[in-house]
Amino acid sequence: MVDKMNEGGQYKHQFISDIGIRGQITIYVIVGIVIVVGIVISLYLVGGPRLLGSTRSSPDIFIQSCAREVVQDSLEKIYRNGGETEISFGMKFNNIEYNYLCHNWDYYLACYNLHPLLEKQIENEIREDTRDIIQGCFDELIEDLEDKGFKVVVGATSYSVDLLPGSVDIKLKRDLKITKSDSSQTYSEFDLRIIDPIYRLVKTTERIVNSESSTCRFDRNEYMLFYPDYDIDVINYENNKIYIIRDRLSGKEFKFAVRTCAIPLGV
Amino acid sequence: MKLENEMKNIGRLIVIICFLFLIVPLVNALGSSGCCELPEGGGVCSVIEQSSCAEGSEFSKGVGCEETTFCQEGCCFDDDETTFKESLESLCSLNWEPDANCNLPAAEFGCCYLGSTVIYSNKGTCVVETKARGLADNLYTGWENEVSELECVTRDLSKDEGSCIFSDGECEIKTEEDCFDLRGKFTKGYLCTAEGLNTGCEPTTDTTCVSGKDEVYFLDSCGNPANIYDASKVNDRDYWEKIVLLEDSCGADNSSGNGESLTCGNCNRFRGGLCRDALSDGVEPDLGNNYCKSTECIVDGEIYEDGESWCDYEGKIGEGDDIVGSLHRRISCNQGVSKIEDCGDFRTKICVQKTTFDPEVEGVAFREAECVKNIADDCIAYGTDELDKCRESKSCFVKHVEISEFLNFDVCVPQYPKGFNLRAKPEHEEKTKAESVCGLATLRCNVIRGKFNLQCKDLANNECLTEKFTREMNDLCRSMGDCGLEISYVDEVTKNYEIIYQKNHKPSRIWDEINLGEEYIENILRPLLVYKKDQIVRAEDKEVSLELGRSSARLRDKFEDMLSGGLKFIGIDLRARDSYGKKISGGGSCPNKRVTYKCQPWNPPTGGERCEECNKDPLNKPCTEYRCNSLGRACFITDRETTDGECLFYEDDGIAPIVRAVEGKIGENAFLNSTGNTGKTFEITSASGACLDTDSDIVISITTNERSLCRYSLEKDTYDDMTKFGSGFDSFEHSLERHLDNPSNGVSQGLDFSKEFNFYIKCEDIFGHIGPVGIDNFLTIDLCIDEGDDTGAPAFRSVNPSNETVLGFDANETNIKYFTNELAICKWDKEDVDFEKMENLMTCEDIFGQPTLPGQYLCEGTLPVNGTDNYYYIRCIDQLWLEDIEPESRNANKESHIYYLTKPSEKISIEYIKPFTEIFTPVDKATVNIIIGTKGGGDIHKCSYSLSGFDNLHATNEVGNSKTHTKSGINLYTGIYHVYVECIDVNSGDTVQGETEFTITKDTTSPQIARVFQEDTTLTVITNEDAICKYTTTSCRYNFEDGIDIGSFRTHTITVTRGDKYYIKCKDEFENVPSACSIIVRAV
Repeated sequence: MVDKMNEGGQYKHQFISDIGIRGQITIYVIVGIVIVVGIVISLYLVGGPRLLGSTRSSPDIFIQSCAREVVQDSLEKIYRNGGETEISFGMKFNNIEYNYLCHNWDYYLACYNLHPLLEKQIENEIREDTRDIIQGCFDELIEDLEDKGFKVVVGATSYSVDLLPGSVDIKLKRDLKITKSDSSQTYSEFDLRIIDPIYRLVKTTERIVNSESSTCRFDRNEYMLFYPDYDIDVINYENNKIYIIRDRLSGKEFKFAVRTCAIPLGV
Repeated sequence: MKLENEMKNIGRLIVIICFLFLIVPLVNALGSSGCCELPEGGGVCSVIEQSSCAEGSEFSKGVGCEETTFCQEGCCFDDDETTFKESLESLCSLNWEPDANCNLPAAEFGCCYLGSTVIYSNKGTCVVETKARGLADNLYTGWENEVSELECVTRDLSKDEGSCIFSDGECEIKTEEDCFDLRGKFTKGYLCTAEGLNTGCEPTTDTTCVSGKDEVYFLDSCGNPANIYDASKVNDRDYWEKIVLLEDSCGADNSSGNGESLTCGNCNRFRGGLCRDALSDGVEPDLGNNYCKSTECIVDGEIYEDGESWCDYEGKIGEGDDIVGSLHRRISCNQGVSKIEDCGDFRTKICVQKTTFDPEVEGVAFREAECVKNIADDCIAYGTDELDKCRESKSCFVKHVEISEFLNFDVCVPQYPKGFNLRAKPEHEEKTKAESVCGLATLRCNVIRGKFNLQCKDLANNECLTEKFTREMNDLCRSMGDCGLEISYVDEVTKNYEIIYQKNHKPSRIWDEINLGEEYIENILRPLLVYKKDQIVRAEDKEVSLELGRSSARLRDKFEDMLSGGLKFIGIDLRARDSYGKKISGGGSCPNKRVTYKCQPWNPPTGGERCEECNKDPLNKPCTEYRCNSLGRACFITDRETTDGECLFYEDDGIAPIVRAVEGKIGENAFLNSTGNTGKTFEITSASGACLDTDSDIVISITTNERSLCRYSLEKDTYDDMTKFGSGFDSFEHSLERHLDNPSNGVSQGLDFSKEFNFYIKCEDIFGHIGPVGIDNFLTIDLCIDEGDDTGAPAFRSVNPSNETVLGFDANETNIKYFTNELAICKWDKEDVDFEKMENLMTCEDIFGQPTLPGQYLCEGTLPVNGTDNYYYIRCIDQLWLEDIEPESRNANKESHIYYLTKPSEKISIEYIKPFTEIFTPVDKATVNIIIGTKGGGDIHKCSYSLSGFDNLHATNEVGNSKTHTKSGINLYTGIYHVYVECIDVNSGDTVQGETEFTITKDTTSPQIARVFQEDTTLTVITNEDAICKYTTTSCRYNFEDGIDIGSFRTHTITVTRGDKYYIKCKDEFENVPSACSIIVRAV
C-alpha cells in the first residue's frame, strides 16, 4: 500500500493492483486466521461464555436485570402508596386508598408530618421490600450455575438504594466466585441506575407536607409556575386533601393525602 | 329563727350534695379524655378517650396535645443536612432539634447552580444535586443565599455558558466552572457547532425542550441544545456560531411569550408560552417537533394567564344570601388547562380573590384566589354589644331588622352562611344544632293593645300581623344558614318557618296576608340564583385573605355555648326594647296579642326527581354530598370512599309510611296505651287510668317504618295545615314535648281551653306519600287533663344564670331569667319572707298557653350584687288573672327558692408577658414562645394573644387550672414586635388586657472579647455573650474543634506560662466563630 497524491493535492490509499489472485486468497486466509485466533484469545481472557457455556447471560447482567425489575416493581408500590410499599395509615376515596403523610384528627389544628424523612424512608422501604427478592435472584443464579456443574462461592451482600435527581441508584455488592475445572471467574459489583423522577417528586411532596403542617395550605399554582415540569392536582374530600403530583415528562404520579386544620362539616 | 337557719343550712347542704352528685361524674367523664400520642385509629397526637389510645402509647389526661412534651414538634433532619422537617421527636429517626420551624442555618434556602440549571434548595441538597450530576468537588461554590425562589428560578444562566470540549473530542455546553471540573476546554460564548472548534457537531433542523428552561432550542448533530429555535435562522451559519442571549433572540418582546408561535421558540412561561411537544398537541411548527405552547386559559370568554386563579360562585354571595346547595370554588389556570377545586362542602370554606391591577394598561394584571375557612359561626357568636367588631370583620355584617317603630334592632350575622349537614352522624346532634342556629332568628312579637273609644285596638307592633313581619324575619332567618323560606341552587323553594299565634288571638286577617307568597320568591329569592361577576370576596392582600379565614377561639367557644346552652328556641330577645312591653300582659280588658316567627332549618323538596342533575353539571363541577342532599328528600350520594360519588335516589315503594305510637311511660305519671286493635288509636292516662295532672310534662314518641316527616294538630286538618311534630326532619323516630297547662286556668281567663283533646298525627315519607292514608284517617291520641281547682303553687324549673354562678368582679347587678312550671308572678328579696312581704317584683310577660320554653314560663329580674356572697329568696304566685276577682284562690310559694351568686375576691390580672427583651437568631427568622402569667380571679383563666392588635386575638395553649398560658412555635422574621394579650377569668367572665414588646435580631457576629486579665498564672477572658472558647499555642490557623477547651458561658480561664502566646477563638450558640482568632494574648 502506498500513498499517492491526487490531482486535488490530497492523499488517498490505494492497493497495488498487480498482486495476483493467489496472493489475495493467501491474505484473506491469514486475516481470517488472525480474526479467529483473536476471538479465541479474547474469549479465554474474558472468560464468560467459555466458562459458563450454555448458562444464561453473564451473571452481572442477570443480577442487574433481575434487580432492576424488582426495584421497579417496588417503586411502583411507592408511587401508588404515597411513599410506602404498604399503606400504614390512609383513607379511601373513589375506591383508591391514599397514604396520609400529614395528619391530625383534631379540628382546627395543623397536621403532624408523619414521615419527616420521607426520602430516607423510601430508600429504606425499597431496600427492605426488595432485599429478599434480590437475594432470590442470587440464589436462582447460583442454583442454575451449580446445576451446570459450576462451583460457586459467595460472600456477604451489601445493598443500598439511593434516590437521586433523575434516577434511583442501586449499590449492590457481593463477592461471587465461579469455578469449573481449573478456571474461575469473580464478580463483586452489580450496581445499576434506574432512570426515574421519584427524587424530585419526593422533594415536591416534602414541600407540600411542610407547608400544610405549618400553614394548613400550599400554593400549588405558584409552585407549578416555578416548576413547570410538575402538575399538581388536589381533591378536597370531607376534611382530607388528596394530592396527586405528576411528572409531566414521564407521566409518573405520586399520590398521598393530608388532613390538616379540619373544620366540622355543617354547624 | 334558729330553726329557720338550720333549715337553710340543711337546704344548702342538700344543694351541695346534689351538686357533687351531678358534677363529679361529669368531671370524671370529661377528664377521661386527653392527649394520646398514638391513637388506635391511626395518626399521632389527638385528644381522645384513654380507652382509644394504643397500648403503650403516651397519654396525658385532661390536656390538649399542644401542652404535652411528647407531642412537641421540633426540627428533624438527616446527617447530610438535606432534609429539615417539622416533626415529633418520636417520628424522627435521625437528628432532632426543639425548633419546630427549623430556624437553623443549614436549613436556609438559597439558589443552587447546577450547570445550566438552578434549583432552590438548602446547602445540603445542593451538595447532593451537584454530586449527582458529577459536577464540582468544590461543593459550595454553586449555592447562594438571600435569594428569593422567584429570583432563583428565573436566573438566565446562558450568559456564562460556552462550549466545553473534552479529551475524547466530545463537546457539550457548560459553564466555565463545570467545564473546568470536568477537565474540558472551555470557550465562552461559543456553541459546539462553531466552525473554528472542529467538533464535528453540525446544525440540524431538530429542536428540543431543555429541563428547567422555558424555550425551544435547536439541536445540533451531537445532541447538544444550540440557540433558541428561530425558523428564519436555521440556515444562518452565524446563528450556529455563538450563544445568542434570550433578549437578543426572536420574539423577545412578545407579550404572550410567543405562545402558539410556529416559527419562534423564545417561550416565556410568565408571559404565556412554554416549550412543549408539538406532536401530542397536534401542532406542526415550521421545524422540529417542539413549540411554545400557550399557557393561557380562556374561560367564559375571559383570558387567564398561567398561574392565575379565580373564584367561581353559583349565585349571589355575601350579605347572608348564599343559597342552599351552592359552593364556593376556586379555578386555576396551569399551562393552558383550567382546573376546578371545591373550596369545601357545606360552604365550610369560602373563596377569596385578590386582583392586582396594572396602572399602565388600566386593566387586570393578575388574579389569585384562595379557599379560606368560613368563620360564619363567629358572626353568630358576636353579642349585641360587639357590633363594632362585627362591622370590622370581613366575614360578618350587621343586619338591621325593622318591623315597627318599637321593634327594630341590629344583629351580627354571617356574610356567607354555612350549609347544614343534616344527614351527618350522629343525626340527632347535627339536627339539634341546626335547629338552634336557625332558632336564633325566632322572634316573638307582642302586639300591644289598649282601649280606644271603648274598643280594644292594636296600639303598637301591629306590623307583626302583616307580611312585613314575616319578610323581615325571613331575611334574617336566611342569613343564619340554610333556614327559612329559601331557594336552592336548582331553583327549588321550600318553606321552613312557622307563624305561631296564641290561641284565641289569631288575627282576623287571612293567612295569606302574613305568609310570604310568590312575590317574595320572585323578587327576593330568584334573583339570588344569578351570579354577577363583580361579586367576589375580595382580599386586598394575602394577609387579609388569611384574616378572612381566621377564627377566634373565644367566639368559637361562645358559639358552642350558645348551641349547648338554654338559648335555643328563645331566639332574639327583644322585649326589653318594646316600650309597651313592661306591662304584665293578660288579665287586662285588652290583652296583648302575641305572634311568633319560628325560623326552622331548610328541608329539601319531596322526592328525588332531580337527584341526577348533580351528576350532570354542565360545567363538570363534581357532585358533593351537600349538593346532592339539597336536590330532594329522596336523594343520596353513593359512598365516596368506594365509588365516584354519584347522586342517586331511593326506590319509591309507592306505599305510605306506617305510623306507630310508642307505648309506655311518657311522663312522671303519664302512660300511653293502645285502644282498639287498629293500631291507630291511643290514649294517655295516669297510672290509675285517670286524667293527667295539670302543669305536668309529657313526651309523645312515634315511629315510622321509613324516613318521614310528621305533623299533628288538635283538629282534623289537612297535612299542609298541621304543625310539625318534633324536629321536622326526615327520621324514623319523632317525639313531641308537651306541657299540660291547667285547663281551668284557661277557662277562668275566658279562653277556650278544653280538658280533653286529641292529637291527630300524620306522617309523610320522602316521596310524599302520607300515612295513615285517607282524609279522615289519623293516628289519634286521646288525652284528658284533671280539671280540678288549681291548688298547687308555681314550681321552680330553671334559672339563668344558674345557681352559684361566679359573676364578674365589677358586677353591681345582674339580670336573671327565672322559669316556673306555670304562668306566675315572682318576687325576690334579700330576706326570706312571705310572698306578699317581698319587695321586688319580677317582670313576667309570658302568656298562658305560650311559655317561653316548653313547659317553662319566664319571669325576669335585676338583682343587686354586693360582696362575694349574695343570697336571694324567690317566691311566686299563680293565677294572676284572679287578682281582683278571687285573690284567695291564688297559690303562692310557702317556701323561698334560695338563689346564690358569688364574685371573686380579687380581679384577674396579668403578672407577666414573655418575651419582653431582645431575641437573637442565627438566621432571618426565630421561633418564639409567648408565655403569659395570670393571677387573681377564679380557678380557670384563658388567654389570647396577638401581634397586630386586640381585634385579632388567637388562643394560647391552656393547661387546666394553671395560670401559665403558652403559645409556642411562632415563627417570626427579625424585627420589633408588639404583643397584645387578653385573658379571661372563665368563671366570672372578667377580662384583662396587657401589652409588651420584643425584638428579634439576627446574630451573625462571633463573640467579642470584653476583657482580658491575668492573675498569677491564670489568664481570664471575658466574652460579651455566652460562648465556648478554645485556644492553641501555635497559631490562629486551627479548626475550632481541635483547640483546647477553656470553658463555656462568659468567663473563660487558662493556666498560662510566662512568655507563651495563646491563640484564642470563641464560638457562640449560633456557631458564629471567627476564621482568625478572637484574641491573641501573650502571658506575662
